[in-house]
Amino acid sequence: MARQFIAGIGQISNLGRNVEEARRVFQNPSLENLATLPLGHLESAEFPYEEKMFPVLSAELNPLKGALSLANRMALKAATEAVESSGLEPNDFSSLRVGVCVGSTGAATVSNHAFSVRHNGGAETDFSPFTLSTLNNPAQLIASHFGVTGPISTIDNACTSGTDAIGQGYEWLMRDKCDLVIVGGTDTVLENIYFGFRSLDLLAKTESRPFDKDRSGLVLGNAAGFLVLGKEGCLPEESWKAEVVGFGMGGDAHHSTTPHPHARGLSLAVNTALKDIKKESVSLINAHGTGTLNNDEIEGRYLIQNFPSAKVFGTKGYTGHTLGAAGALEAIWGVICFQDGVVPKTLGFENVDTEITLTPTSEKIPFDDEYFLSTSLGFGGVNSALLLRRGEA
Amino acid sequence: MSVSVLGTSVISCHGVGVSSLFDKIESGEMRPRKTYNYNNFSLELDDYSLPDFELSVPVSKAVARRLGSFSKICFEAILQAMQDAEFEIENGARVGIVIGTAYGPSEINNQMFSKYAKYGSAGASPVLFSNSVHNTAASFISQSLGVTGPVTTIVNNELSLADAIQTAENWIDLGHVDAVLLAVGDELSTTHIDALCVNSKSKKIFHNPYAKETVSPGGGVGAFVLSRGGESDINLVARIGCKTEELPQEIVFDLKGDRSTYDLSRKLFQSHRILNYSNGYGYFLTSGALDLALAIEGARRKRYCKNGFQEISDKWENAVDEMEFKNEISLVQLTPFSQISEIQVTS
Repeated sequence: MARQFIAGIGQISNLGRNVEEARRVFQNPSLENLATLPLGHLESAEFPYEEKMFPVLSAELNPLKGALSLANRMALKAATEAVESSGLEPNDFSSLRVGVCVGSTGAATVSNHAFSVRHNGGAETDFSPFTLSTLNNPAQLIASHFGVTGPISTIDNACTSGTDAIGQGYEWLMRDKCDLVIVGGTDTVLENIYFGFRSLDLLAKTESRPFDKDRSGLVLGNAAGFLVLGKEGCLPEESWKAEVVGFGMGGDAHHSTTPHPHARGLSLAVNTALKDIKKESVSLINAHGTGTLNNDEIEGRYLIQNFPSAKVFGTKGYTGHTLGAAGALEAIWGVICFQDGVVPKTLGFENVDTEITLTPTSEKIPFDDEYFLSTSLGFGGVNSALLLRRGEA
Repeated sequence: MSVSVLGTSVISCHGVGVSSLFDKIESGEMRPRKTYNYNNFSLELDDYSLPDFELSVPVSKAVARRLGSFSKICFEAILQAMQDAEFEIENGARVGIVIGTAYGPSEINNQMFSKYAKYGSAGASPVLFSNSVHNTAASFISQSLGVTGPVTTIVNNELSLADAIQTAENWIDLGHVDAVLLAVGDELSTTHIDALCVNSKSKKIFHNPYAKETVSPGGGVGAFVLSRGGESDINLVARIGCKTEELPQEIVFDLKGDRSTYDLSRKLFQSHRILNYSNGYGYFLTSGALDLALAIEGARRKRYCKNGFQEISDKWENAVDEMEFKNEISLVQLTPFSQISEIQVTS
């Protein structure tokens, strides 16, 4: 069976407006280096964020004359960067079977709080946010933008969506449904999501502190992360940045907002992703690490029990929790770890929670091992795991 | 690769089950009319609302009170499809769930935003929020049935059905699961109705997919129990990214009559003979799932469902009322981006 490689990466997040900006922050991590607002900014409840956070996107990449939501514009920008960094030319697409798979919790919804409030208040007269919402489907949009005609999928599977999109694309390649696939995730902070998390008492009092004993919740963030995956033989070897070698999903069948106490679904997902690879071979894990009490306790205990010697890091302290984009962004961090030979510190983590005993990276450390595992957990008891290998022939 | 259909069911305006939908479409019985009001606008439409029903399995009062209507119709449709398949879950880790939808739990969302409209951000409700996310139905069903295999939700408008089937096919072919419980559909969208109330030039709309912008919103869910291809007499192959010239000349086409795809449909499918059933269930983006259930029912009856609605004005010259049974039928969906999906049903 042909191997599947990551050839291109693109992102826009609190870390920066492209991969190179993000890479620089990773090399010198500090709050001051983050590209946009300080981490407490979401507590101000000032909406919308668009002009403050990503002013460049207000003017560019909007082929549908203002109809596109920020999440869809971010998706187009990050997907374009991923395609460009793969070394492929748009003309190359015409001779390849190219698919698109995107994960998002909000990009394919009406996602206009002000409209929905006015509508349900009974006084709306402009329904264009609803009637135009069908154009806001990131997978269809990206497929149309690049003129590709392979399989197209938009996944809304809560916070595992981005990982699931990569996994789905990987499985399409495995099954020869296409030669190349543009995969990723995108999400922005929507007011109903923000206030919904707040109503569940899941928002941080201050900043995101993954696995820290004083963690108090999550901080939401805007992001899009995209990758170009291709089959060996369809991509030049010099473009190989990492190899995708495993993906798994597992359900908790337990509770809509609380993970299974023994990480049942996460365990199934990781075991499926690892297949024949021993757990001891995995030396680097990007944890979901949202900074919420429940997620970090259950995920942390699972990781310390099953991967006691692996290095674990979390990135929500840099980016916030970007929901459907998170898994895709974190796969990109895996690629950067392989390329740069370092793992960043887990921003926000300071003190070990003795109930968990997991100590994620507290400073930048070298990395030259073979495997990188990324875990994702989401509302509804969904869990996913993605396994990458250093991208060598 | 194909997947086998072990069982199917629908929830539609004609109630629970495929037979009633099949028979009502063949009879051509028009829907009752209903007047909707929004913000001092009123509009008369065909009434495609889904009837209320009791779940066929017991749930606690607390669960029933919190359960959104989208989760309820998906769950019941899956339960009925499982019953049709005589399928019981022996090992929850070997079963997957795929839900496909365009708008997901839209009525729970409307309830949630009504609270925001009334109380501002203080109106945020943890119960409504957790039930408002798109994967709420998949989550509820996996918990209720003890499914710990892969569970996902596809939100891909007209492509949701083909996308969901392809996802199920992936999981089955790669050995992740032995069977997938799949439900695709949408609730009747009151947001769409309110939009029509405000925007419609006419005070009355009679649903007609063959004319532009003469739609009455509908809803429904089709559910299917799928397993490895060849395990039953009815098999499916789903494709996304088809070209019109690759499709058979005679198709069941999910012609919508809406502004965003009508002209495109006319341009792309002028040389195909098309059969359309939407007068039986109204306009919604994921209605292809009901077409699939009808095709499966047709395969069982050895004759495809006829379109009994005779009094349609502006009917396309290439529209047909019935198709000869041929053991293979193609169902086609189209997006505003010109993306086409096809589901082949063989029996």
